[in-house]
Amino acid sequence: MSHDTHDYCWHLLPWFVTGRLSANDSQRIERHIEECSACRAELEAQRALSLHIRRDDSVLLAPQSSLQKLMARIDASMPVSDHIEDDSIAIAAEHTRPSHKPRVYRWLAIAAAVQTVAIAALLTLVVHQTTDEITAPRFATLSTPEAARTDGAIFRVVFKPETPAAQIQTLLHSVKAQMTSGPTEAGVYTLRLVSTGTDDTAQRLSQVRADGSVIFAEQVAPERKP
Amino acid sequence: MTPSAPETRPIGANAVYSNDRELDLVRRIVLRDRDAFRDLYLMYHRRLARFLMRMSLSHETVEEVINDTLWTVWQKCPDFRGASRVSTWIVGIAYRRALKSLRQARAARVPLTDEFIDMAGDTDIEGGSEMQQWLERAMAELPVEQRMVMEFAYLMGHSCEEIAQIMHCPVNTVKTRMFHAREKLRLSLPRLAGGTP
Repeated sequence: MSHDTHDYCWHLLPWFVTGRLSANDSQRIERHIEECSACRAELEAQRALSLHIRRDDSVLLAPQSSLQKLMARIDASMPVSDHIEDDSIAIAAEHTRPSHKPRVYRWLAIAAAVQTVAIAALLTLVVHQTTDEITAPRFATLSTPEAARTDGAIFRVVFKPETPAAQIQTLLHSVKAQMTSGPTEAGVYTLRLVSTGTDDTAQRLSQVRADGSVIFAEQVAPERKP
Repeated sequence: MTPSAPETRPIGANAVYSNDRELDLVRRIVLRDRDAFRDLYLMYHRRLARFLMRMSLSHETVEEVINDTLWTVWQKCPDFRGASRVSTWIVGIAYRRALKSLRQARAARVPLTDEFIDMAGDTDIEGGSEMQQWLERAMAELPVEQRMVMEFAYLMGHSCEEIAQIMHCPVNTVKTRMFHAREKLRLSLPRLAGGTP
């Protein structure tokens, strides 16, 4: 038994245990351990260690919440169209491509449905409520001077599923924003700020993020001009 | 893109994940298939969480690292040519991102000390759960590079060459780190070293 062979095999024993060696190396170790008691003992020790390490199952992090945040981040990274509704339709179309059957998780679908109903009720309230803070018209033409006032920054926001509509309504009032679309499959809503004539977008984004009902909020990147 | 891995032929099925399936998911993600991305995310969340927790990162940081890693996968997947296994590519991203967090938090682990070795030698271990606790303590005291070589090999089933790609170091360095980790654990885990689980 050569010393070089012993050292070579000794170093590779962990990967012999996991079966991640080339055929040549595996055969070399198999031949060596037949005549080397030290390597046989070490092989058993490493097998036991491997079992102990894999037995530890203490990490139990729930991925759904983090996944939702990341999907919202991906949504927020996409350039927004001048026409929010068209953008939403495009995203929805991507989700329902026939070539890839969607795997909607039941809980997410239920949460989104409940939230959709809540938001629909909220929008109804907003439409019927005229305040000094939200002055932008629900429908505007290019000829109406108010149209320019709604051309504010756009946020993509994910609310906690259990958030009551009244709390969302309060937030929208406080940051002077209108909900223009949502939720996407990932539970993302699009908010458009009502222009106040001052550059306070960052401050309003911080305010949204600080709200207890918000999981994720990001300003949408401006559309890239060709 | 990492260099191509040497040809290896797994002789066991331990912790070896299906590269073909993952490669198919990556191809679909290149086409911006969100369902494929969701599948890959759920597939990797648990794997990455386990080894990231071993790097002594907080739960919050682990979630950040996982999302930053998969965010990079979403952005960079068109550049992935399949020269390495998908898992090697993704785990490498996560490992480097985690090291950055460790540096920022100045939370790098201290090497195993003589004091700890003496303490471990005086401890009476009875039962599997105590052995598990001992192993946890012994692993936590290893320098992070040695600990992670052991985790990549035993927990995630990576080959020596793949670990070298993940850690951006020579293959011999991986073997040396594993060698030192084994020696240190041998001192603190006498029953394990004797082959008794």
